[in-house]
Amino acid sequence: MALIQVTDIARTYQQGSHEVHALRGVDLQIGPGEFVALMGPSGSGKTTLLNLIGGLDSPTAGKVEIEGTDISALSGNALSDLRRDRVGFVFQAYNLVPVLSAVENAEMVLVLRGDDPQVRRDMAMKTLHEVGLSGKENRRPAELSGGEQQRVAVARAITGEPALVLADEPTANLDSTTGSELIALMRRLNQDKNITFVFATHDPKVMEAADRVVRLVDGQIVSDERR
Amino acid sequence: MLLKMASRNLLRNRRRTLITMGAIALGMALMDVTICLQHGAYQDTIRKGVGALAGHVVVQAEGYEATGERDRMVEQSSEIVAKLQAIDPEGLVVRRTFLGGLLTSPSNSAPVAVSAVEPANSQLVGAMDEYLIDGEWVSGERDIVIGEKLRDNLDVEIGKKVVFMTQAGDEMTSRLFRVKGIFKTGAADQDGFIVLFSLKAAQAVLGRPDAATQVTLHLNSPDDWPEAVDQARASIDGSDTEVLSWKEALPDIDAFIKADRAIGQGMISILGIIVAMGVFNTFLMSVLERTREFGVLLSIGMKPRQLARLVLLEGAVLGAISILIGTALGAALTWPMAEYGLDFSESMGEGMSSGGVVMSTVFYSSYNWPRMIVFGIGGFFLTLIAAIWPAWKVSTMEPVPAMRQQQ
Repeated sequence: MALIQVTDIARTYQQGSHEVHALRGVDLQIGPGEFVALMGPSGSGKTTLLNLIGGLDSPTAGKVEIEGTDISALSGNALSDLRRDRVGFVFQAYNLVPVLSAVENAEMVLVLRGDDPQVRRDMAMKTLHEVGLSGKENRRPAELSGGEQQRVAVARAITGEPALVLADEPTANLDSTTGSELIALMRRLNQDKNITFVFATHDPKVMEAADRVVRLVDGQIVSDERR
Repeated sequence: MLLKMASRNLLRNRRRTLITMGAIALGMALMDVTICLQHGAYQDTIRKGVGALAGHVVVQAEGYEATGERDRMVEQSSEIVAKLQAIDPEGLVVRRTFLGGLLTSPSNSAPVAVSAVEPANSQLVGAMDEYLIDGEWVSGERDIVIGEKLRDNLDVEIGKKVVFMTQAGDEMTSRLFRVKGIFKTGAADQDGFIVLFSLKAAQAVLGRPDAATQVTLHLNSPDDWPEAVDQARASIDGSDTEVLSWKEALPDIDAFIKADRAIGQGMISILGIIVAMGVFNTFLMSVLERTREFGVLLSIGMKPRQLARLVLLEGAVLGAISILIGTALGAALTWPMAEYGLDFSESMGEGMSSGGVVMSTVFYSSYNWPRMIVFGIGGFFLTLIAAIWPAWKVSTMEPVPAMRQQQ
């Protein structure tokens, strides 16, 4: 069974008096453990597709299934549970909670899940160690570099042991070296933990690391290349 | 963790939080100061009113309260004294007679209102004796105490003779007194109109040897007055007498306190609403500034109701701390006013009269903890209410549009 099954989805936005067709009839199937890059120019629909897969947005037509569940049929609370338990998110601007330390940010998903405080703290510490942030657990985001903040964001995304991590331009705000290190980290997590990673990116380094590159232009998939 | 986040979120913009907390705390402190000042004034009014004009339980002749006819008196007052004393053996039973008449000196005459008292007992419940400026309190049956203004009008001094004239039944009657003491309350209507002599003298003037206008019980524990009134009504069962509580005997004072308290509460409510509007504005700004962050929290699986709870928790933390500080500040500001009083004598004169009660123009606060606690809890909930709309607003956010907002 595919981890992600996208069937003929369309997403149209109303912008003033005219409609913007962000996605038009997209079909996509992604299996467990894949490392997929969605590429394409700005406005091609990469982020929209990522949002629809993550249950952050609803399609105008078609359906998205995660592990066989049609997520467009889920209630708001059930979607929140799905995002909390099965999906991790990494954003371009890190988007950490500024008032929480690195370890508190990393354990946030487990807090929302209601896990035991000691268990969640141990898991968050272990994850921070895995992303190379040992010794910086108690620092607030403002006390960390961009690369370190993005590592905390990755730690937050994987601490809950999701099946899928969706990353929207995760290297866009990082310098080349830091970006490469982050990609290597995520690739390692993908291989070690069999977590599926789906990127929306312009970054050629992500493309080089990916084992599948899906290209979008004007809301449609124009190529789907496996390596 | 949510509580931790809420507390830390409040510290993000320290200046704004401090200003908001300051507004709530100051509002709360002002409320408490007002409450305690009012409480002190009411206690003083009740104490003096009950002491000088009534008691916690008042027994009068049937119809006296309604008609005010001075002829309506309790004839067998000694029996009533015994019955009231049985209700509270540690309490004080006082008899009084109120009369109207004319007081004449060798050089002038003036209409007067007499309060005829049992000298020793009346002193114990708080009478005019505390305003004596010259001479002594009533002790003998020929002693009379008058106000300073009346002394000047009649042109008399301590030891001089005056004649009191009044109507007893269909007859005019008079009695000779010697001025024993002069009082000064500062209230012109009291100092120029009220005179005091002994109950026995009044009984002699009227020719009614055991009569009194009222027999009053002053309880050892004033708060027990409702039970005492019930007991008195059960034990004093006569068609010629009526038993009143102090509130019924002093309706003007009770009405004044109720009206003043209502005005005070109205002012306090307006103050509360103004502070709540400030808190609401602060919360709304604070929430709208963090729209993007809320979008991220929603995207990682936080439920809308958890977000709303976070904002409400911020309101609760802000409210609880501010109210505690405000209450402590209010209590601290009240202390000197409870200890040394608030002196308005320069603008209001040395004394004033309200409903026949002489009140000092130096107001003493009195801690009213039950009311302070109730208003503290009310203030806390008002802060929470101010956070409800921002919390609801947050709970309706969608993750994608929220994350598109610029921080």
